[in-house]
Amino acid sequence: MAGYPIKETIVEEGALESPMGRRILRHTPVRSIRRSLEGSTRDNMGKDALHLLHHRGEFLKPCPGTKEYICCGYQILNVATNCPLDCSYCILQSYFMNQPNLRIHVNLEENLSGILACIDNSPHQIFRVGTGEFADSLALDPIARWTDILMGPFSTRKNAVLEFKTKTTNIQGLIASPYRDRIIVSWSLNSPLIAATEEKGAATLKQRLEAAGKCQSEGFVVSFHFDPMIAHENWREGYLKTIELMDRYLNPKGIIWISMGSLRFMPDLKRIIRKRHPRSVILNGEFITGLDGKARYFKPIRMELFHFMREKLESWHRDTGLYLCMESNEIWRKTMGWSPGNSNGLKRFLDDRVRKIFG
Amino acid sequence: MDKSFDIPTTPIQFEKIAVNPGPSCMSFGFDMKPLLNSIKKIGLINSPILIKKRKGEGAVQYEVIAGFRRISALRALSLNPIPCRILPSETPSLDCLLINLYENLCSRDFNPVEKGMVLTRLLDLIPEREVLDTYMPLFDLPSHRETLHLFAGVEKMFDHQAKTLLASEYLSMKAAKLLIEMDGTERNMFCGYFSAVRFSKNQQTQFIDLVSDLSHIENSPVTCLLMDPRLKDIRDNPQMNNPQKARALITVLRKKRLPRLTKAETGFKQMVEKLALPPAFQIVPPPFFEGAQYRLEISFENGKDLKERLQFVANNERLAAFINPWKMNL
Repeated sequence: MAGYPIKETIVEEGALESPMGRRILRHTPVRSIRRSLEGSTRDNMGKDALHLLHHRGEFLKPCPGTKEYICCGYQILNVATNCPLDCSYCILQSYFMNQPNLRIHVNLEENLSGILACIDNSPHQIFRVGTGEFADSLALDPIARWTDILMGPFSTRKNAVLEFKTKTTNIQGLIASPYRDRIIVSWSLNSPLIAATEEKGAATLKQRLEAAGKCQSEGFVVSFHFDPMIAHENWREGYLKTIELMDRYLNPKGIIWISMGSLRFMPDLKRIIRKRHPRSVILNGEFITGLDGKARYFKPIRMELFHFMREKLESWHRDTGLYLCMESNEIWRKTMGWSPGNSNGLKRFLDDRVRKIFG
Repeated sequence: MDKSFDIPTTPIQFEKIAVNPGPSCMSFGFDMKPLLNSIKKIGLINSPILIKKRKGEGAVQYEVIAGFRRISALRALSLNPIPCRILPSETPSLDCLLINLYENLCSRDFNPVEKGMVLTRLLDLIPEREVLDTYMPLFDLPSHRETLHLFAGVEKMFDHQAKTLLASEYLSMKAAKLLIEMDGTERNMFCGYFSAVRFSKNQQTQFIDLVSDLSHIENSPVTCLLMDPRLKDIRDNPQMNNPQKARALITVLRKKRLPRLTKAETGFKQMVEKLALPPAFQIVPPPFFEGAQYRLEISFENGKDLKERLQFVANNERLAAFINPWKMNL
């Protein structure tokens, strides 16, 4: 099952009343099924326990961002929480420490019409929607079949795009789908060292880029996220190597956007990282407290990271929709040579990319 | 348990009462003086509660359930015998613990070490859920498992020195949380610094954080870093007072941990000094240089004074050389 061993499945009350819940259970080779949460394992955040439940809140929500930095105006489609990968820097470790297990919201299909109505009710707004904020978009797709559920409806809407963000090679569902329009397949990338040592369970960089190339050849628009960038020893050589790999496997003309963001984390996450990933090097950099209360690299270090990447990516191809995630106007100007000014400006820039690529 | 607590007092000789606090007692780091003064002035108000030991070996026949401090005070004042209330020897352990708990709750606050003592003993006697739901709120603690195990960890893992620091508020709970995850030797070394130098609460966590970070970065044990002669010299310097020592220790560590930031801070100070502004002017950088704007503060007496000072600033040719105090390696 996609390389992620599920040792047990926890089924919350009502979850099997949903067709999605029943379908998942039918196709899940599990060792045991429980209906209670008591005794649920927490040491590994329940990364080997599938948990089927109804999501009680809103499915579609704007990314909260923060007023202190420029945010892209993304919409999060909350189809699942937690992830079978175990990246040392993952923010979900603190978000979901008390909500363990790979939680799949099996009432997605019942709520889909409401989600789409919300999009249809604002025809002049472009909804850039992603499922990869609280979970990897594709890691559990062979079980959850989100590609089956979501690609059709999103593909037919002219004011929305759906981005599947992943570090896996689980593209079977995408490829099998007849839909291509308005679908973006996206990979998180990093330097080879970080990908190999800090992204446990993820596909290698080469595998990710091969999968991206395959998606391009299958007619998909792709995007990439260098986030979190880590200022590790010899990071320049490392990130350059990744760009060289991109050049080997990808056609840059088919890229809708590439984002860059440096490592940032709420102070509480540090303890969790030290405990869960004692060999990690990601906390070794020079961090300060940012305007949003999160730890982030001292400004000149971020500037060096972004300036270097911008220069190298632009020398590969000038039009990849390069943008910064959660950065200040000053950093934008000094590293990118321009700034969207504020979150609305960045939203407009990315919406224009959608129009340019998808029409 | 019978809800009424009407037990007559019986005079008991010191020699028959255990010298150490029993498993129901939960006092740590208390100051005896106020109690001694109170007993001297008006005598014993509330009789201690004892339990008859199941096997009365030797002279000691009673264990203290509640009132260990009072008994200690009475011992110190040589007031013998002591009027005590005696519980039957078959009284369940939980009842004994709760008698002590509720008696103390009515009359005083518990320090973090004492909270840890009570919660740990409760965990031995009742389900964790009940401790979380019923007893955590009694101590104004959230009913979180993590908090419960933090306090229990203090009881189980902290030695006397660490407990004393915590009970006397020389160690914050936030710092204790960081220390609990260390091994005993590391914890003891940190506590050595915290008893020698009175750090503020923020400085405690900063100190632990900086040392732990450097230990990871340099792949060097915390104990080695804390043995660094530069740190020990500051800690043991008789010429420095506590705030000076704390600041100096943090400065040494920050310089090592955050070389570019500390260099920028030094560069900023030097640039401001070069401007040679009078004391009425102060340039304030954004915290950690993260924001884009510096702030100029000007003190003035009246509008004329302000105008002159603004003029002075405007005419300061050196201001044009004021730039961000860091070099970039682009």
